[in-house]
Amino acid sequence: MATGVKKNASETVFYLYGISESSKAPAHASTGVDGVAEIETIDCADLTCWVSRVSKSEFADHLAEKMDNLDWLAEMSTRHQAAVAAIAQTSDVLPTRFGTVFLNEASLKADVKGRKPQLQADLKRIKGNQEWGIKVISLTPQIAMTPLEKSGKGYLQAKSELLRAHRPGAPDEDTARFARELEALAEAVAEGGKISGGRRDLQYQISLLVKRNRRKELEAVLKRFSTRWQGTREIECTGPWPPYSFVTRRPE
Amino acid sequence: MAESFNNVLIASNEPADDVSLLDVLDHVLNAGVVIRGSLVISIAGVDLIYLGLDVILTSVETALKHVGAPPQPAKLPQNSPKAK
Repeated sequence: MATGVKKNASETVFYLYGISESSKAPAHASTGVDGVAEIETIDCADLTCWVSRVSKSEFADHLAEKMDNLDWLAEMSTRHQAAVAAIAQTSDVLPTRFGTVFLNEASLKADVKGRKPQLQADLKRIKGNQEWGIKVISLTPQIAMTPLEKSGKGYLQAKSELLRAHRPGAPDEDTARFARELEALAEAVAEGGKISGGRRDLQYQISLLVKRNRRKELEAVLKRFSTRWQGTREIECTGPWPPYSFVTRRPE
Repeated sequence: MAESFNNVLIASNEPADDVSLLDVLDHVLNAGVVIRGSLVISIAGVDLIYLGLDVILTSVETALKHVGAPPQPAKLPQNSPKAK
C-alpha cells in the first residue's frame, strides 16, 4: 500500500468498530484497521462508539475496488477483528461489519441516536456473553476415486455420484445429542459461517452465545464428546469472538 | 487462553490470534451490525457509506474455490497447552 505520502493532506473518515454502553474503559493502545491510527471513542446518546480515523480515499471512495483485492481484504479483515477483540476485552461491544464508515462525527452521532432502542436491546442480549464457533469434522478416510470410467465425462459423473453418496446427511443421533447439550448451555444459537463451512468433511456447525462464566461447562462438553469421538470425528472450536452473529442484522 | 484437548481445538482471540482467515471473514464480513442495509449509499449528499457486502462475500467464496480447498485452520501444538 503506497499510502501515507500525503498523510497530512489526505482527508479522513470515521471507521466504526462497534458500539457499547457508555464506557469509561481506558483508551486502547491498539491501532485500527489501517494499522496506523489509534482507536478512539465518541460518545453518542449515552452510548460509546469505537472508531478510528482512516483515509477517505481508501475506505470510502475506493472501498469497493479495494475489497476486490483478496490480499487487501484479508489484511484489513484481520486488523478489524483484532481491533474489535481488543475492545471486547474491556467492554461488552456490539461489533459492526467490516467497512462501516461515516464521513464525519455528526453523521455518526445522528445515525446511532436514531437506532438507539435497537442497539440497547442488542446490548442487553449480549451483555456478559461471548460467541463461540463449533464445527464437527469427519475423520473418515477419503473415498478412493478409482476411475472405472476412462472417458473424461464418465469419470466426472462417477466421481460426482460417489461424492454425493458419501456427503454427510442429516446429523446422526450422536451429533444431535451433542447439539442439544450445546444449545442447553448457550443463551442463543446461530448458523455457522458460510465461508469456513464450505469444506466437504464438515458434519455439523453452529455459533453459540455463551455467558462468560459458563465457559468451563462448554469446555467440559467439548472434551467429553472429543474423547468419545476419538479417531472418528474432530471438534473444532474457535473463540471467544465478539458476538458478531448475535446482533440484529437488518435495520428495522 | 489457548488450549487443546485430544482432538478439540480451542483457538483464542485474546490477544494472540490463531484463528483461520476463513473464520475471520465469516465474522467480520457476514455478521455484525448492519447499519443501513446492503446498499451503496452515495458519497455526495449522504454521509454514510455502506457496501453491498453480500455480493462481495459471494465473490470471496468463488475466489477461494478457484484457489483450491480452503486452508485448514492453524493447529495448536497437541501437547503444549498454553496457560492464559
